[in-house]
Amino acid sequence: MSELLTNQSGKLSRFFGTLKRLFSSMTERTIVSLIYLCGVSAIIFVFGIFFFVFREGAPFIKNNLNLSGFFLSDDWYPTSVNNKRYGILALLAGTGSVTLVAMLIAVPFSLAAAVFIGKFCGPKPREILKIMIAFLAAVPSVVWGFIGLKVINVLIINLTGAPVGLNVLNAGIVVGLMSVPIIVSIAEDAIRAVPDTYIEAAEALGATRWQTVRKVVFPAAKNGLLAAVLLGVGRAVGETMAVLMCTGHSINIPFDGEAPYFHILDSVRTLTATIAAELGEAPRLNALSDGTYPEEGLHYQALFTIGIVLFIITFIINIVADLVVKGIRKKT
Amino acid sequence: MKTSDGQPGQNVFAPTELTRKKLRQQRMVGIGFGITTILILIPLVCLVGYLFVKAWPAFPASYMLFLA
Repeated sequence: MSELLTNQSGKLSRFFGTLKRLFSSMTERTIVSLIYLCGVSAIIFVFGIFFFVFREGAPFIKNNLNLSGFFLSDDWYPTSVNNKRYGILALLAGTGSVTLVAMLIAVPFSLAAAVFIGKFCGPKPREILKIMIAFLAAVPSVVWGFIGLKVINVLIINLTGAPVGLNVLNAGIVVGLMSVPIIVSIAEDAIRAVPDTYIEAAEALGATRWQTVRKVVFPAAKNGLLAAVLLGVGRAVGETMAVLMCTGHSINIPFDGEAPYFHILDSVRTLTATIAAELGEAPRLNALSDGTYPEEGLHYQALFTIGIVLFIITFIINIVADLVVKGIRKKT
Repeated sequence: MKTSDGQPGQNVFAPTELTRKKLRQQRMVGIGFGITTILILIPLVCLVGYLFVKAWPAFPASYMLFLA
């Protein structure tokens, strides 16, 4: 009898052991699948967005895109009754000029701040400064636009005598300030990631902190610093709301062939601001029976083509960053 | 510091002119970077201050008392 009981209890414990193993294996497999699904879904979403933008812009590219007219003309008259024109040169120039001014402001300040926070100040001020710079990132872009519109606009008019304060300089200052937190945080991480042994070796040779930063930290952290700057450029190119409010939204190329070549007090319009301002008013019309699209629907498609151009610009920036970083890695 | 024969000697650990120059340079660089960092934060303070000043009349007393 006791043998039978022992036998039964052994069987039961084996059964429960198998069940437990099965359950734990299933749980692990489920969690792994979920993590895999999350990873894949990010890629699927990106491809989904690209597919959607490309699908909406494709008819324009296929039927109406004249490359020289689109990229080399500054005539953007998508709602003209008699002669609709879709030239984005002025929009490209606007995006480029605002990004240029923003980076001229943001890069030196951000890198200096990153060096100060990473190497020159004590632990307590460092934490305070990091919190304050993170707070800069928390300001919504519409509030930045509001400040550009109401404060910097007036300052520019009073200081420069320009008739309008909504221009490249205004948008450059605002977008530059908006790019600061991202550049500072990544550059500071890159600076702090430099191995302590490098810094100790420099200090052992009698180098001051500044000499260590200049001769050791900067060369060792240049990949991270470059990544920080390029992410800042990406932020500046993609910024919409603040730029829409601060540039003056005027189709104009701020460059010309005469000195001073670059007119920083000119109003401009950017690619992103054009999409944001006009997409709501551009009707999406279906194809006619012969496969062509009504002319009124071209505006909508042209805006999606601008979206594709923005996609390509961002893609090129990322590829260039990748190539530069790989080149630097090979050299070192 | 005096030498064994009672003459005033040179402190071998005293910073040389070169060291003093380097330390001075380092201090100046630190101050420069600090000022640059503060300059970035000034717009933030002005921005928040401006928003509060402009929005202040819209805050009714009852709301402020509720917050307190």
